[in-house]
Amino acid sequence: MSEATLECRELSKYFGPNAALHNVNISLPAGKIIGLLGPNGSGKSTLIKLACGLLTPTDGEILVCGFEPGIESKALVSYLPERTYLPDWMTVLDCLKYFQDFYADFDYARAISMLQALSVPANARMKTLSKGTKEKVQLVLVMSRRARLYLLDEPIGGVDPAARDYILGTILRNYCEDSTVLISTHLIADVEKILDEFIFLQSGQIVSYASTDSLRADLGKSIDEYFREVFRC
Amino acid sequence: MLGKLIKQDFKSLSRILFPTQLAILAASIIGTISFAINIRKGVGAYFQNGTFGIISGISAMLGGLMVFAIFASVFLVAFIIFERFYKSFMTSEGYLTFTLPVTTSELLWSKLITAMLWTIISAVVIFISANIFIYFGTAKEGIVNFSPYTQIFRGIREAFSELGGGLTLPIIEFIILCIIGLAYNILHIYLALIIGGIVSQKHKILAGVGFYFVISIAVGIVTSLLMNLFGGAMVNQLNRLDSLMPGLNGAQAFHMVMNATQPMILCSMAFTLILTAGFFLLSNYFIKNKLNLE
Repeated sequence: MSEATLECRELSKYFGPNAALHNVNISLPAGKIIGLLGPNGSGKSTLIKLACGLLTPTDGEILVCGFEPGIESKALVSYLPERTYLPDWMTVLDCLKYFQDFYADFDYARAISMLQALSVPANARMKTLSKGTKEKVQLVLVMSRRARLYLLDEPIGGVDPAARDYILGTILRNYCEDSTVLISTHLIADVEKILDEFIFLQSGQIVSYASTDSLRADLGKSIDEYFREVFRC
Repeated sequence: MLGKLIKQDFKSLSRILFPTQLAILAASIIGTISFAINIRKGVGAYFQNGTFGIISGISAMLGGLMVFAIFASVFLVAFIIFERFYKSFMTSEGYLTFTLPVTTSELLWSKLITAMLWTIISAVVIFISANIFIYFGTAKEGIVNFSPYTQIFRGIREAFSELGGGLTLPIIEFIILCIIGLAYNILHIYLALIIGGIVSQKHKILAGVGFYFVISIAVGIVTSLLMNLFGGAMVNQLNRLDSLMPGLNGAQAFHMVMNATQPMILCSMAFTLILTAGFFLLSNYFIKNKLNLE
């Protein structure tokens, strides 16, 4: 039986009277890199936060490898928030040890080599690092886990184009066959070369879920072009 | 996992609190030395001219500084404990805290246990400082002054020889009350900060302070209701003691008061414990279901 890595059943999330997500049904398979794309406020971050248990659904359910958000699911999910979230008094190495302490699937050696490749000083305190460097550290931590589901919320927004390429390469190299990567971003042109599938989200509802190849074959369009067409202002 | 959480929380508190405790000990030693100088030379020394007058003045100031440092440390310890709690639960650090593969109750337990540990450590440090001062700072002759201790120890010996095992129960009750009271006060503030953080997106701390008082008032209302319902019997019993007391010796009076107050002590213990558990369960519920980080 092949179980979905991430499954949403009639999932809704309301903030007061406003629907951030409304009746979302989707099942994401293992082994794919999937883009979660949509305009601002379309519910991308909400969906990701629901999947990692930072929010609780108003209605419906969300399952990670069959588990509702909880200890079991959190051990399988590697989440990169769209903000800097590491305590500023910790050194980079402190952060690595912290992750090693709590996540059984954390690969310390791999994290060290990624830090070196991105020339991040391992002994520096987080508060002394620039915003871009902090984001690199967070990405290293998140991608050094052997997780089943990677949830990356705007992973390349704050870093320079050279680092972007390295990060996308890292994502490609480090995910394995039984894991799924869900990337939410506005920088579609940058990420579309690594995406297997994409989801278009608008006003809390899924308007399109397809594979990149079929889009190219059927419509002869790139995701970027298709996005601009669907979400024309 | 709870052990790992406690280790991390303890580390993040100790980073700031450990140096402050060393500073308190240093301040108490400096203050003790300056007091020891003054006590030998008499108060009149302040008014002398010349070098000696200046030294006395400075050492008196240092003594005052010691007292200030100890008071300040109490507030600092409390501030740091709640600041750490707030940061790791309510700010962007929450993205790290709440995606760890642990339960929310483990997170709360860890924050509660480390806060209690650090409160106890800082109380012990203040106790040691006070004793350094009494032992070395108050001797008019020689280096140490043991007489306060002789008196205290004599008092304790007398109490035990007269009352014997009768003291075990009140001592145990006192310790339990201290521990429950500590947990109660910490969780009271945690709960207020959590509700404040959920209710308000912009003024979380201010809202937290508000909810601290709201909770206090709610507890006050419940307490006074219970006192009205059940407190009457207690007052009657104590009134009855007044007429019996004159004919009794010290030990008999002690046992009589102990027996008479036991129901009250046990009830208030149980009541505080129930409130503490309530604070914990409510905090857990709000974090689990209502949390919405920015």
